[in-house]
Amino acid sequence: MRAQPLFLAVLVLGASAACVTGQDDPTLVKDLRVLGMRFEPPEVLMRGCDARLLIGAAAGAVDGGSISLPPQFQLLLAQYASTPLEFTALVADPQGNGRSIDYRLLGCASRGDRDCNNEGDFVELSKGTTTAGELKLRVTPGIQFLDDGLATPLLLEVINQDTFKGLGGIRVPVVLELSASDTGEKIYAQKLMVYSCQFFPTMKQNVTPVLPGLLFKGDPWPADEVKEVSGKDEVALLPEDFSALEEPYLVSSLALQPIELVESWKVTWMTTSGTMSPYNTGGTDFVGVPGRHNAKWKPDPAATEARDVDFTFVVRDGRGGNSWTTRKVRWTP
Amino acid sequence: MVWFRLTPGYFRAHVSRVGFVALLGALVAAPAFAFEETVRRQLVDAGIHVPVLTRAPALLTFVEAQYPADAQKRGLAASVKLMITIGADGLVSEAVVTGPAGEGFDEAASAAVKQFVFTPAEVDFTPAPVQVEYVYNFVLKVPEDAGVEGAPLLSPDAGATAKLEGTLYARGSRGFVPGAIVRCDNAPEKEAYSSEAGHFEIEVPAGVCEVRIVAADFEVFKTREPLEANETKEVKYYVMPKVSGYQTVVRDTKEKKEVVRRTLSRAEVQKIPGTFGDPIRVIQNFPGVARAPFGLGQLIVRGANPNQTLTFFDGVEIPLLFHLGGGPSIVNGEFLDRIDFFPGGFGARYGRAVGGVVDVASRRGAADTWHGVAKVDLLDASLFVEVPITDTISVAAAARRSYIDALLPLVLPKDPQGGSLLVLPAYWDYQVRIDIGGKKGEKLRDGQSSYSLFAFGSDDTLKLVATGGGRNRDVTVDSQTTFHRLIGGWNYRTGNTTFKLTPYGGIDLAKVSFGPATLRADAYTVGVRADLGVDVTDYFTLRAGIDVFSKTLVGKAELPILSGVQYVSFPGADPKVGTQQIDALVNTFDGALYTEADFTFGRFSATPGVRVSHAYIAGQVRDAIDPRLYARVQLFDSTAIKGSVGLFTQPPAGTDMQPPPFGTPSLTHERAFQTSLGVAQKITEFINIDVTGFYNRRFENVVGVGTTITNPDGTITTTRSSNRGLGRAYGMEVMLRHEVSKNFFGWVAYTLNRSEERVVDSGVDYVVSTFDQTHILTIVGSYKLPFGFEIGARFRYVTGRPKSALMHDYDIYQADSNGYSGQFGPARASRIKDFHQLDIRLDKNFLFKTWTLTAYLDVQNVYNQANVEASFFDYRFRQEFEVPGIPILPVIGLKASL
Repeated sequence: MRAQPLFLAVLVLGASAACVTGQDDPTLVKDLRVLGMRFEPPEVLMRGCDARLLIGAAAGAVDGGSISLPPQFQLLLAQYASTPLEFTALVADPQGNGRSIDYRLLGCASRGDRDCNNEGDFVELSKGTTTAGELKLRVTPGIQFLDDGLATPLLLEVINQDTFKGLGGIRVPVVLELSASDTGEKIYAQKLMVYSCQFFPTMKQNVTPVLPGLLFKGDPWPADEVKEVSGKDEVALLPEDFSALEEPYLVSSLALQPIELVESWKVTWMTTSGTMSPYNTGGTDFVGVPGRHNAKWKPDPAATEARDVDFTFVVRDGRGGNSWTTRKVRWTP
Repeated sequence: MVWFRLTPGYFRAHVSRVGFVALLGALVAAPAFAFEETVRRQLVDAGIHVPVLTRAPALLTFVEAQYPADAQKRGLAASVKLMITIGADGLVSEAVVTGPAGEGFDEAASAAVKQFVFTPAEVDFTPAPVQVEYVYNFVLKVPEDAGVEGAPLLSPDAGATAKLEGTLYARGSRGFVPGAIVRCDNAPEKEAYSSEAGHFEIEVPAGVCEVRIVAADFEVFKTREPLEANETKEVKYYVMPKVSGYQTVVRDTKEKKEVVRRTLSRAEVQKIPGTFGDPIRVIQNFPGVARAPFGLGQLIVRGANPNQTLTFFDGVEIPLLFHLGGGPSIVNGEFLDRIDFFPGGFGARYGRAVGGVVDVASRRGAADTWHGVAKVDLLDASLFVEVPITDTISVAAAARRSYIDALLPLVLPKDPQGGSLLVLPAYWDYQVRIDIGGKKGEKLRDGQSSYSLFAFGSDDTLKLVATGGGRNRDVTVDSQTTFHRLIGGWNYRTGNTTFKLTPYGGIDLAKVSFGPATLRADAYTVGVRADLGVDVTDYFTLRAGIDVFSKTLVGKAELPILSGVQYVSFPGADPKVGTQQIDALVNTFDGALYTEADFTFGRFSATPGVRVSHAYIAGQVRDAIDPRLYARVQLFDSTAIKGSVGLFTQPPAGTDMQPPPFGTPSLTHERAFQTSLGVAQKITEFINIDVTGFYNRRFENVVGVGTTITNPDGTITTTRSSNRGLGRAYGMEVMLRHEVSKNFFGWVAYTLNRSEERVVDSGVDYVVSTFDQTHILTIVGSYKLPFGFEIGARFRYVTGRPKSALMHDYDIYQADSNGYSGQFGPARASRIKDFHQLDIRLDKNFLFKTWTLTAYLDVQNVYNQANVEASFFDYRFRQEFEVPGIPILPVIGLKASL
C-alpha cells in the first residue's frame, strides 16, 4: 500500500532530472579513465571447501574473538590462494598524448574502503608507471599479509569484514590507483577477486566472458576492420548473439541451499567521439526479464573535420568476469 | 465563560408604523445552528463535554428605534449591525455597533436595542449569557399613495381578500430564507415572517400587491403580484444575498483540551491557493508541518516520518491518503465538515501514532432541502448531493472519477522508440452517509439515540506499457489499489452521560504486477470504538473508551528469487533466475483502553489520561502504556498558558514482522516522548495568536538497518529492519490566525524547527533529519470581493532541505558494477536552496436562481521562482545538478453548487 508514493516520487524525480541538461556523458571517453579491469582466471574455485568450515572459521571473530583456522581450511587456502592471477586494466587517456601515469595496485580487507587507504587494512601488490592502454600485472593477492602488526592474512581479514563471512565467495577488493603528476588527476578503481568455496559438487569455476563478435549496421564487424562512416546519422551496433555462452552457475542461499542462476551479460558501450545510446545493455531487470542489446552511435554533431573514432565494448558476466574489445571507425563529415 | 454567538439571519429588528420598518427576526432558527455545531463537536470529541446552547433567547420586548429625522427627510435607509450581549436575566447588558451606517442610525439602533428584553438563553439547560449578532434595519415606508405605475393598487375598502403564499430561496444556493418580513407595501398592516423552511402566507386585500421582502444579509426584494379576489397564489421568490459569505458562523470559544488543535472549516479547505481543495494538503500550511517535495502530500509533522502521522475519517484510519501515490487526496473536499489537526500532544483517545493526528469529520446531509455540488477540473469530475429524507433522516453522497486515462493518450507524443507506449492512470472514490435520528440542529434529549452509517472507498489503477520498437527493455506495470470502509455510529445520551459506539469494517485490495512478477495483498479489517463521557460535577469530567481492531492480510507473490535477500548478491550482477511463489497470512489484533479526566479548579484545568494497548501482530505480543497529561491556565479572559507531556507509541506493521529474510519478527513499538508549552492570546473577535514550543524525543524508531547473524549450523539469518532509530525534534510554532468571518480568513504560520536522528550503535552522532527545515513561513489569506469575485493568496518561505555536500577530489570507480562512488562532506551538513513561492487563486461566482456557478483560476508559483526540489550528480560524481520544482502552473476549474 505504501509502495506507490515512492514509485510516483521516483517517476516525478526521474522526469524532472531528465529535463536537466549539460551532464557529462559516460559513453564519451574524453579524459583519464579506467574502462575495465579483469583477472584471469576471474575466479578461484576451492574444491573441498565446505560452507560450514568457511563460516565457522570466521564466526569466532564476530564478537571480537580471534579467527580460528581449522587445519583443513589452512590447507585449502595454501593450495588455492597462491594461484597466480593475471590482472589487466584498460586505461584510457585521450588527452594525455602518451604521458606517463603512476600506478599502485593494492589488496584491501574492506570493500567499503573504496580508495584502499585504511591503515593496516591493505597491502601493496604492485606499483610503477604505465601509459594509456592495457596495464598487465601478475599478482597473488590470496597469499598476502596485512601490515597490521599481526601479519593477518588478507583473505582472513576479508572474511572477517564480510557481512556474510565468505558465503558469497571470499571477495578480495583490489584497487588500482592511477596518478597523473602533470595535471594532478587521480583515480581509484576497485575490482573484486573472488575465491569461492565449492559448496556443491556441480559448482564450476567462472570463465571470462568474451563477446563473440559485433554487428555494424547488421553486418559483422571484424576486430581489424576500420569502418568508414560519413554524416551525422546514427549507426546501429549490436553484439553477435552470445546467449549460448552465458554460463549456468550455482550459488548458496543463506540457508545453504543451492540456487541455480544463469549469467545475463551486460555490455557497456563507449566511444571517443559523439555518444552512444544507451551506456549499458543487457542484464536482467529486478523482475528477472533479460534486456536486449540495441545500441546506437551518434556522431558528434559539432564535429566538422574527419577523424578516427575508437570504440570500446566491455562485457560483464555479473559475477566478476569481464573482458573488452575495441573497434575503430573513420568518420568524415 | 462560554460565549455562544448567533449570527445575522436569525435575529432581526422590526420597526414600523411611523414611516419606517425595522425587522424582527425569527428566533426559531438560532438554536438550530447552535445545536448542530454542538452535536458536531460532541461527536468529534466523543464524550468530551461541550457546553451546549439548549435554548436560544427569544425577543419579548421590542423597542422601536427613533428614525433619524435628517435621514428620514433625505429618504435614507440603513442597516446597523450590532453585537449585543444578553445577560442570564434576559436584559441587554451591552450593544456594540459592529456594522455602522452613520447618519445617526447607529446611535438610534443602539439606544433601542439596549431596551430589548429577551427570554434568557440556556446553556446546558441553565440560564446563561450569550452574544448575538443583530441587524437593525431602518426602512422608509413606501407612501400609500405612491402606487405602481399602470397597476391598480390594493383596495382595502373593497373587502375582498386574496392569499399570497410561497417560499423564499436564497438565490444561487437553493437554501431557504427564514425570518424574512413579507408584506405588501400598500397594505402594511398585513405582514408575515417566513418560516425556517422559507415558507410564508399572507392574506391581503385583492388587487395588486406591491411585495416587499426584507431580510438581513439579503437585498430588499420587490415585485408586483396581481391578486384576484379569493385567489390563493403560490409563488417562489429568489432573494439575492448581499454578499455571499464564506459560511454562517456559529462560534464558541470552547477551551481546547489539547495544547494544539488546529481546526479547518470546509470554506478554508476549498479556497486556499495551490491546494486544489485537497484537505490533507491544506494541513501542510499549518505550523509544525514541513513542506513535502514536489508538492506531494506527505505530512511531515514536527520531524516525524510521514507514516508516523495518522489520518482518520470519522475516527477510522484511512488506509490510503492519496490517489496515485501523490495525487489528490482520497478525502473528497466536498464531503468534509471539518478537519482537526493535532501536531502532537493529542489526547488518549488517539493512539498508534508517534507523530501527529489528522481527524477528518464527514458532512451530515442537509436538513432543509436537497443541495448538490458538481465540480470539474483537469484531473477529475465530482458530484456531491445531500438530501433530507424526513425531518430526522438525511443522506449525503459524493463520487469522483478521474479522466486522466482518457486525456493522456491525446497529449502523449507518439512512442519515440517506435513501439507501444501507454500510460493509463485512473482513480475514483465515493462517500455515502446516512443519518437517522437526532434531527440536524438538535441536541439529543435524555434517553434519545441517533444513528449513522458511513461508507466510503477508493480505487486507483495505473497501467504503464512501454514495449517493442528499439527498446532494450520492455516495461509493463499494472497496479490496482482499492479499499472500502463501512462505519456505523450510535450516539446515546442519558443524563450527564454520553456514549458513542463506532463499529467499522473494511476491505483493502492491492495488486501490482511488473512484467511477470506479481504481488497481491488483501486485507480485511473489523474494529470498534466506544467512547463514554460522564460529567460528574462542574469541575470533574470523566471519559473512557475502547479502540479495538483485527486485521487479516492475505498476501501472495510470484517473484524471482531475490538477490541480496535470499542469496549473497554480486555487485552489478543481474542473473537470470527462477521464480518463486510466496504466500503469507498476517493476523493483527490491536486493542486499546483509554481514560482521561478533566479537573477544573477556577482558571486552572488539567487532564491526565492513559492509554493501554495490547497487540498481537504476526504471532508476537506487544504491549504499551502511554500516560499523558495536558494542563491549561486561563490567566486572563483572553490569555491562556497551556502545556502537555506524554508518551506515544506506534506498533510495527505486521508485514514488517514476517520471518527472515523478508521481515524482522523482533520489531516492537516505536515510541515518542512529547512535550509542549504554549500561550494562546485572543486579540480581537476574529484574530488570535498561538505560540507553542515543543520538544519531542522519539526512540525505538523502526529503521531499515537490519542484522546479519551467522548461526551455529552455518546458515545466515538476516533481518530487514530494527528498532534502532532515535530522533529528536524541538522548536517553536507561531499561528496568527484570522478566523473565518464574513469576507475573510487567513493566517500566518511560522515554525522554527530542528529535527535530528541517529541509529543506535552506528558510531554516528545525531544528524539533521532528511526533511529538517529550520524556518517555515506560510501566509494564507482569502477575501470576498464585490460582484462575486473572491481572491486568495498563499506565500511560502522554507529553508532548504539538508543534503550532503559533494566533495570531489578524485574518481572512485567500481569495475564490477561499472559505477562510480561519490565523496561527500559531513552528512546533511549542507542544504539545497531555500524555497519560496506565491500561489494565487481567483474565484468568480455566478448566481443563478437556484444554483451558483463558480469558475476559478488557481495559479501556482506566480512569479515562476526556480525552486530546487532535489539534486543529482553526473556519473562520476564530479558535478551536482539541481532538479527544478514546478514552474508557473495555472489551473482552471468549474464548480456548480445547488
